[in-house]
Amino acid sequence: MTDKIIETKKLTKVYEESKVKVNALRGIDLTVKKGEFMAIAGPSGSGKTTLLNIIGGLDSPTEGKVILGGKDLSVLSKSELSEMRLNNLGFIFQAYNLIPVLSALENVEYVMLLQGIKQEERQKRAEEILKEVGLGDYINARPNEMSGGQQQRVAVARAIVSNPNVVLADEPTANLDSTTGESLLVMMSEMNKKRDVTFLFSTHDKMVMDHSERLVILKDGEITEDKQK
Amino acid sequence: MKLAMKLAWRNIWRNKRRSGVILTAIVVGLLGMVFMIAIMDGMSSDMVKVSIENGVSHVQIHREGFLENMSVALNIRNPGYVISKIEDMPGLKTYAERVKVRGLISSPENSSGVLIWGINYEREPKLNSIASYKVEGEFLSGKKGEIFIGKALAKKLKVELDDKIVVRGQGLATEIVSAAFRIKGIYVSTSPEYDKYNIFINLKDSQNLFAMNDRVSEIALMADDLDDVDSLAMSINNEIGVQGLKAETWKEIIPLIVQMVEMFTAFNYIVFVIVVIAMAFGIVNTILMSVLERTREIGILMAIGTKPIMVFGMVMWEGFFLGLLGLVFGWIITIFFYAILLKTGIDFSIWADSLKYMGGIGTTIYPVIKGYNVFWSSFSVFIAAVLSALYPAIKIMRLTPVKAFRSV
Repeated sequence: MTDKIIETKKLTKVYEESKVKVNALRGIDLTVKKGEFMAIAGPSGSGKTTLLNIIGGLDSPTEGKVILGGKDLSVLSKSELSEMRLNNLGFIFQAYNLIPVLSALENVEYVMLLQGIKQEERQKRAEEILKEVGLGDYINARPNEMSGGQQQRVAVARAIVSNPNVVLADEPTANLDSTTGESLLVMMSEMNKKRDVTFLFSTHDKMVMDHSERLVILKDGEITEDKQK
Repeated sequence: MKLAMKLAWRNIWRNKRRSGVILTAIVVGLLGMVFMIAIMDGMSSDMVKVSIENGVSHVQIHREGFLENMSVALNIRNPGYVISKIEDMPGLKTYAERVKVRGLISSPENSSGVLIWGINYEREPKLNSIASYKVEGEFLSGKKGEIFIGKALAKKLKVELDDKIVVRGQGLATEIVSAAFRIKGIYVSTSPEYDKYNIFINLKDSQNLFAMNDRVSEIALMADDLDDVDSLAMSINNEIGVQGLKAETWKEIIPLIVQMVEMFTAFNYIVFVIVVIAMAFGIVNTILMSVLERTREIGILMAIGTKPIMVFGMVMWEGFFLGLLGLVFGWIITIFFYAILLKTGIDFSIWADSLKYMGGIGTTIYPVIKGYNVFWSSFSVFIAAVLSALYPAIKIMRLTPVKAFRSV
């Protein structure tokens, strides 16, 4: 656990809405090591989702830079960023966000399909991971045929199946009841250990904070606390 | 590309009602375009057909200048010689000699200006529908003193079958000549105006009346095929042109009909473009709605590694599939309606009075669907559908994932 996988340097993000400037991030310096299971917590508007989006290359900083797996994201084009996300990152969103027209299996396969993995291999891996997250019986179910917890498990399977370096999870338990949320966290924690995948959560759920091994607290766009448990 | 196609295909079925609206717009657009043009083409070809079959024929041979003033002096002096030169020409189906003189017809009650046709009673029905329009009595039989007139004229003159009427006109020697004729038959064509103006007597009677001996005013010809007409007229002109005679095609004889056909064609193009544009706006609107509604979902696709070009491709494929499905449904419905209308025609009798002035076409129009009409209508509809997806596709491709997330 010594390799740096994510590094942000003086990361600043200013939103301009109706000519009013909002400082979402104010010079964030953060280093995440490979295999960490950490959470960025803070109240609403503290900048945690913005930080996660910028780290994931979904948004660009006003100033500063993100170095992910040794690569400076600020020099990458839109298409290169897509490629980088495809091969290095897995995403889990608050509202599950599966592709509604695809089955659970196809949703999990999707990323591998983009990576050009052959069908046989794709299907095998997708089935395995769905079994691993406890959805072996739901491989042909469409998202609208599954509960919120099941959909979020598919989202986890989709995020993890392509063996990314980092999984970025934005409030993954926010829409789940505590039991489902707990079991999801346990599952992700096991994957973190088993696969050595770095998990980075943004959350204000105490349960997520309790499960994480490192907790970074953000307030008004600044890191106010960074504690290793 | 396969993945973009797969997603596009499934996306168009996820909101069946919306896709149904787009498909309906495409089907109605295609149906409208094909049938609008088919009806116009049907009217055009009907106008041309009726005019040709009502005596214009495919080609007419006259002395030069005859068509301008129909002077009895501008005649064909030796029709037998002309016929011997043309009767074996390739492409010629049939011919008939005619005398045509403007004159006056009188009954004890009334009189009216008419065009007197002196016709060969045996040959004329082969290239003229006039005999088939008979509603009372008989058509000419070659006997002396027979006349065949329209019902509208008979009504105006207050005469009936077997009544005697007097025909007057200017003879070859410029004197006014007249003769009495007995009404052998009465006809009703597709146009009351035609019926009021055209009267038919036997060729020999007309030659005697106007002191023309064996001369005729014109020789009318029918070609084997409408496409042969120009080449037939050219061959005839090469053969007899030096004698001051001229073969003219139906296009030269009835330029007004040709202009109307051209006007219909131009009108078709204008409406064609309007329908395509209106349909394209409808499709753009619906596809745009469908794409914007999925902005967040598309943002997720981008976030997990989908390249913008693939998102673009996916939306374009949606337009492609909608266009293709629209065409298939459109064709099925078009064929269905065409099969019915080909038998029943479209009844325009409500506008019968106006149609009388359109070259004597009937009140039932049979649509004529031509291959190029179907091709261009289908092509335009399909391209409109595909291009309609272009704007939404570009718009969505330019979004960043975060902007897409925030759009909801």
